[in-house]
Amino acid sequence: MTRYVVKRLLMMIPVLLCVAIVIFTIMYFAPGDPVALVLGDHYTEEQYIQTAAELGLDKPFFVQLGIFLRDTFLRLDFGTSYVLKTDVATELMARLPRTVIIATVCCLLQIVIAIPLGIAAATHQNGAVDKLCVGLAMFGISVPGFWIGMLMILLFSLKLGWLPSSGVQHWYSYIMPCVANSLMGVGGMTRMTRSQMLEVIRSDYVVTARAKGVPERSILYSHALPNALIPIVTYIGTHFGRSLGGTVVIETVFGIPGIGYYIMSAVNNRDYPIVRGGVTLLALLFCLVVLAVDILYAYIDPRIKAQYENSGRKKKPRTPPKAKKEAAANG
Amino acid sequence: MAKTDGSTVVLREPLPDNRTWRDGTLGTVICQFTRNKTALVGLIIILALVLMAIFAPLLAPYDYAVIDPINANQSPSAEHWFGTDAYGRDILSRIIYGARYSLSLGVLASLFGTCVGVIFGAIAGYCGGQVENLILRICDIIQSIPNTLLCIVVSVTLGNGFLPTIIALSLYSIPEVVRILRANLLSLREQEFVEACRAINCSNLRILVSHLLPNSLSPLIVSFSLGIGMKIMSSAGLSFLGLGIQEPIAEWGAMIAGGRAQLRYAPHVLIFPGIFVALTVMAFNIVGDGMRDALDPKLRR
Amino acid sequence: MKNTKKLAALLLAAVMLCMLFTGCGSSSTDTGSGSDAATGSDGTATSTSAGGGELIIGCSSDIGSMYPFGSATSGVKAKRLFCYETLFWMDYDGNPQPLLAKSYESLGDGRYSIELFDYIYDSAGNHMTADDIIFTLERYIEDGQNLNNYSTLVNYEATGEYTLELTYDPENIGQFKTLVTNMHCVTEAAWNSTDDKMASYPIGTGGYVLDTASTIAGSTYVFTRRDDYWQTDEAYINDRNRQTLDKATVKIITDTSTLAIALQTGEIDYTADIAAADRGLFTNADGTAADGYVLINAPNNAFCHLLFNCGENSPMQDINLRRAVCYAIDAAACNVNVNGSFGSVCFAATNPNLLDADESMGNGSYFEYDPELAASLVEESSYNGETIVILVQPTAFVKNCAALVQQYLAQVGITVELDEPDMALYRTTRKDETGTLYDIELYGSAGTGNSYVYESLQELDQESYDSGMSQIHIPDDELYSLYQAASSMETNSPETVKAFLDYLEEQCYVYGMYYEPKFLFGSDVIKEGNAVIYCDAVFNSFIVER
Repeated sequence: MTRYVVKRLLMMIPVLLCVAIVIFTIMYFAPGDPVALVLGDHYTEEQYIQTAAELGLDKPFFVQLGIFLRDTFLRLDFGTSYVLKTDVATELMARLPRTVIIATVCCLLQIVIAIPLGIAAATHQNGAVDKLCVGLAMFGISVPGFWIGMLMILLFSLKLGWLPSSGVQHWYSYIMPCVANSLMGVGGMTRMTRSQMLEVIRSDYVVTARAKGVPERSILYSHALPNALIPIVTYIGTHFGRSLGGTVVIETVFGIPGIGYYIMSAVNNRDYPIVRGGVTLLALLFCLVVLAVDILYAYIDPRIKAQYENSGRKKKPRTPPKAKKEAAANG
Repeated sequence: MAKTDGSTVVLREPLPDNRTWRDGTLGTVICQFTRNKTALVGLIIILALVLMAIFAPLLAPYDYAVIDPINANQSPSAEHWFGTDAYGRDILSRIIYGARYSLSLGVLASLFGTCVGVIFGAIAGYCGGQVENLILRICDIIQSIPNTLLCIVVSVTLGNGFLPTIIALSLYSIPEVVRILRANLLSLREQEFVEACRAINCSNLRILVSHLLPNSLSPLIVSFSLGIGMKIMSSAGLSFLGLGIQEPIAEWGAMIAGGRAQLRYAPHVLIFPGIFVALTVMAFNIVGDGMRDALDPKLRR
Repeated sequence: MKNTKKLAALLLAAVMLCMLFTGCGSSSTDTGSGSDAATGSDGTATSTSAGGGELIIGCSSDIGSMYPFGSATSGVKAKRLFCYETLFWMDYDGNPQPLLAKSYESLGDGRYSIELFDYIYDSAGNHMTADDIIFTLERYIEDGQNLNNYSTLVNYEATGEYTLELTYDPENIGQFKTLVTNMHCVTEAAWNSTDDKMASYPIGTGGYVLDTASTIAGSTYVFTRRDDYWQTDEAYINDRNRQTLDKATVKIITDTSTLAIALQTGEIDYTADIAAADRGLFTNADGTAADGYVLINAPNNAFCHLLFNCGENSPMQDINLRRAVCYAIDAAACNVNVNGSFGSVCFAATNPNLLDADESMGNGSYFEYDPELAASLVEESSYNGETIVILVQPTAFVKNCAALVQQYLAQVGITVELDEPDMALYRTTRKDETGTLYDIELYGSAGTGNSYVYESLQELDQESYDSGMSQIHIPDDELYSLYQAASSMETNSPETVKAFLDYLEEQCYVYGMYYEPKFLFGSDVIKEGNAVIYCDAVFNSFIVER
């Protein structure tokens, strides 16, 4: 097990290196000149050369790339913002928690709301409860979160005056952004749980258990649910990982200074160090989440643990192919 | 989701587990699909939207770009059913024209992503070994960059406009398609009919193109049709951030973004385009679900 | 055995998750302190008692860092005003008044001597001398922004412990004043004590210090009153440095419509960034402040105008086409659409709020809307249907009218494509010297230091471009000599400025559309008598204190 984890951690290094190289290259070729932005509307040629040298932008592509990789991976130094002159790592860490809060709440809502809804829908297949749950889930995945967010501002901030329209000063500032951001995740999760439960309920061992006369409750919670959990955990994991960088739009609507918003404004300013550092950091977090999910599997499913333990010999797909397929299909 | 109604389940012969898309003829699939009332409704909505987009010049009561500052921010009325925006443009007309961009963006981006994904997935499945490993690692790399940020960065680099937006939107779905296809190929490779082909000395390429790929179509079709909704939603988000399609072209996401400034005194400016985004995405999702139910024999049991 | 392994697996997963949440630890303190700050400020919002107190200021642009230089957005201005000080502050009539410096004297020929107070200490206790001012000036020049303030500064030196001398040659009008009222000074010792150019913590001489414990990066910046403020002489306490607040909170709300909501719901007390379209919410039909709000008129130097690319690669080289564009646009309607009842239509290519401009410089009718004349001018011109690219400056003030301009030009048969890049790409595009990327630039030219006519049209200074061609992409020596006459300290006069503007109108290089006064909005918390509104005559600063 430990060997497996260590191996996975080592595998992360090339992936992160490639992410860093990819993002560096894309930004390098993005039109727009950070030097011109730092200097403002009017500047002399000398000033331009001097500033470009100061920012290290006068060097050829591969030299810049080399310096960037060395600083990021060997010195763990994300550099200094071109425009703001602040230390990128500090600023990213200051902004990360807000995004993590939103992503975590979304995760919790999925567990607390979506899984019960999904189970209820599956156990009452084609009934009124099912129709309602499926309808709600469909609503969740179809309505743009940022749009609902703005309507909520209109209602709760302006008309009713219950919640602040923006910022992160109070704990309740997070209510609207979290709800708006969770819609899609919760909707997708409900659908996922439902289809997984349906599949498991139809499986042979559940039929056998029923035939044996095991009480329905016990079938549901001790036979069906644990088996349906694997793809569900995958879904939550990947969704959490994606949310970390995917809340940009919600952050924009609610004026939350999260990491996504920070990176996006840096993209507009061509503030390369922030973009590169931020994306690399988020990629690292994503990989860690995926690994954490995989370790969780071992806890849930002894078969997978067995696979991990002799993983030296045979390559295995990171998640069971079916789970992946379902997760992808459910968005 | 699985809207298989009770009667169908009883009436139909259960299909063996290992039978795939090819076993059911196109007719069966269509038949299965049309029995699903919800999916039909979704399809009708999509058809209506497509017709609306095609015949936009005939349907739209006003020009989508003509500015009329005097009538800015008007509430819905008999002349302007959905009201007017900050420049006095008719919102209904803009929504009708906007269907062109939103629908084609969604469909093309999803199609592009699926095609590229199929190519790489097939290469991975065909070559196996190191090539497969390489392709999967590349997928890992793309997937570990946050979706939205990747879109933003690519969109900024390629510039605004229709084609760059399609590429930016589709990039992220490529790895998903690759994985779906590869997983499918893996399970198909073990099956008897492939063995049989090998026995009669078919080349690997031939097996792949004429047997494996057609048999993997159904998950791809499902992922494609569900992908359209996702892409429409993402493109709306992207335009909301000021990227993608630019003014004065009517794009629903951009219209929502434009309405943000008038949120307080003219909420209709953003409400109507939002409803259309939601409706369209929902229609594509419903149809996607219907496709899955119709195509996946397991769900028919 | 089996269970222990299970447990180990779980533990590992938990550790992985913990690694993720390391940031979360600080977040809980963030929210904690944040809510403390909020409860405090909620208190102020209801009590309007005079003396001391707190104020929440809404800003649409992030402060981002405490770096003292760089471009001035509203957030940056707030930070500078609280933490840093300039040599002089500009009073409401445009005259420098003592702040860090006691006095200045013009020695003629562009030479100025400045005398500092001899008891200035910054918040870290460093003593400020003339050498520190020279040091700051060097950093200021290194920063690269505000080029005009020091472009002809040929010499600067400390002549004593508390005196320094600046020499301009040749001297342009306004350069000295803008420099001494815009350069926020730091001590060399303080600057060197930080390794990030004060980006994370400001050490200035201002009356407030950053309260890092209550500050939430990117969202709320809290400045608290300094008890050991150096200026103790009542005679030199003025609107700029009076410490009337105990605590000032700057809230960053980047979307201006959300900012308006925040002012409505009482989340902020005051803001300078209400969008033109939202003004109606806080004003009556006659333009006075609505019940419960305070409206402060602050003159603004921005004016929306078109800069034509007259280079040989653009159809705009044809003066008839340029004039057609000017006549085709209904500037009055644009103004109403963008500014409501507040803006005014330009009478020439300038904003009358600029210090050396006034309405009498207009010639009566300035390109009055005449679509028929425009259409016939298009006929006369060599234009045959090419797409005209308009490069739009990415500021809200200008962006709002881009679609309108496009529409008006379409009506006279000119096909227009709008190019609306982000800031970085915009800067790069407009610096392109080949003149092939765009045909017209829609520009707002706000910002610090643009207080004279020539400064707001620095784009026409062909000497500052390496190609010898200004932003209109052709060399025009007559234009340049008129520009120089209007800019030089010696020759600047209403006549030379008018001659410059007349030539612009005649050659139709620039078309001024409209300008808007700027308004600062406050809730009732800020009432006359208990508030001092500081907005200087060069449009570079604002502050509200109670």
